Amino acid sequence: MFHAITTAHSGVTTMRTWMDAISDNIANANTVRSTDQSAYQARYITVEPGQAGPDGVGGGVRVAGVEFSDPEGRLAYQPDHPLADENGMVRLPDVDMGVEMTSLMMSQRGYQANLAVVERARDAYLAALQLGRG
Amino acid sequence: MVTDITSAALHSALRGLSTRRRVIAANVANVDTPGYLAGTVSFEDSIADALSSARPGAGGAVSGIAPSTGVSTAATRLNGNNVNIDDEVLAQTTNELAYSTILEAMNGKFRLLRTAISGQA
Repeated sequence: MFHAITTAHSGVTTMRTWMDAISDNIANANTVRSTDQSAYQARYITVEPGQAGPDGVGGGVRVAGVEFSDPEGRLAYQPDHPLADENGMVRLPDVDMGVEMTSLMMSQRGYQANLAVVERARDAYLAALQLGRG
Repeated sequence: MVTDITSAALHSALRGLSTRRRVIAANVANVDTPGYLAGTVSFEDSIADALSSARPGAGGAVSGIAPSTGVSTAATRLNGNNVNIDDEVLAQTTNELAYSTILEAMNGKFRLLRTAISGQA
């Protein structure tokens, strides 16, 4: 029952997970490490279509896993930093704020789109319940 | 009569759905309570099992099926809470739809009985 809502629910959950990952990346955009440690690795979720029903639809989407960016990060010259090495270098994560903000917008729009599907599906089901009421 | 298998199953379903509604409300209320684990309700499988083994006319087997409550195994956040507000809102949407559907089925059943009693459509 209510397959459209279940499917849209999987989309909402996926978009939320994506947003969680982006939020992690933005939160750690300035996480400084010393050069002998690996940098914070940005999280990128991978998704895959879910198991569809016998009619080939209604599988939705699910999070398949998480990919991590390069632990090398990038080196920055900050000689005043407590973690700086003898050359004054520290390691910063390789987080591209432009990419993250764009992804944030996409995930937010995706979230809203899935919720719009829920709303329409609910209206449709409610209309079906009115059948025969005259 | 009103103790038939259809009414009994619908009654059990309504009971399960209203329990779920209560649990969803509790989950939403505790969305930020540290250490709170989201509650879950299951009753569909019990009703399906009871229905598959019940004999026609024996409504007793499917009446009074108590919904079983559990705790969500979703990952917890930093404060030990694992309520996802979007999951709860969507569960509520589905729950209300199911409730309306069951009520509609029950109305149909009662309309039938009323027709039988009064002899008029």
